[in-house]
Amino acid sequence: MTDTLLFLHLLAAASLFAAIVAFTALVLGARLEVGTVRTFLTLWHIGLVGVFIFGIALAFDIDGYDIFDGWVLIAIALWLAAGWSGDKVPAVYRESGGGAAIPADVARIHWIHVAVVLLLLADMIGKPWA
Amino acid sequence: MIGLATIRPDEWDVPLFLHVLGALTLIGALALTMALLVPAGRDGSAGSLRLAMRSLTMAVLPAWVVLRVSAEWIADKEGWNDVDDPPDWIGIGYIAGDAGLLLIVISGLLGWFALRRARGDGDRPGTGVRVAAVLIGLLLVLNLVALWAMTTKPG
Repeated sequence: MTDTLLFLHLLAAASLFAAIVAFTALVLGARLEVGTVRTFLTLWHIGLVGVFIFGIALAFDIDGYDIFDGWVLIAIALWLAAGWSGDKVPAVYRESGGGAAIPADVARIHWIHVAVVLLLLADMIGKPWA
Repeated sequence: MIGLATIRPDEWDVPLFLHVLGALTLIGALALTMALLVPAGRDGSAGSLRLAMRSLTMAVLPAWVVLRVSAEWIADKEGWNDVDDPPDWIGIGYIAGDAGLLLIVISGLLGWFALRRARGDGDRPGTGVRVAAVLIGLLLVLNLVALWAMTTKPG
């Protein structure tokens, strides 16, 4: 059970990363079809919900982990920040019809978002205050 | 196994972080490359093919290097390099990793030749690009199997 939850947790994370790679390409100037961006936005939403549900399930499932552990609370805070900042690039891109460059302020939010996701991954691995 | 994970020494954290980061980025970059190769093969779009080749060289290849180097690092830390008969999940990881490089190189060459023809003779990308899309799709599936093997550790 725990192994399956861990696999699903990482599969959701992979879905999230697929979207981040695609949105980074947009920020770097790639012109993707709007339909392709919509597909990656769907992957983003699936990944965001998946990592949360399976992550919380893992915290309950594994003896020695608690939902109120420091690293779990940090992960939830970072997840909220990632959720807020994650869909800004595709939203702007779709509004422009897929032709315009990503504005500098939205690009800045994207790089902050990438940093937040990296911190989330570091928190998962390092588990401070476990 | 989970018990082992919770008592994992701190010095394993950096190679494990890089390994997971490399794996997730590789899967993401493969998904993007395939999403670009499919329209390039279907509609003969040279623009999509150019982006796919950039994705392959600027995202897939670096992610593969991070994944593979950190895999050796973490295997060395965990002592798997000294084991004569390693478990199945290690073998699956090596197959996905080493076959992966071969598939990346073949796909890259197919894409590069198609792009060169498109630039030179104005030919629309065709069969070679479709083969590259299938190979990248196969590599994506291989990496998802490796992800399953790394988390469930069969054998």
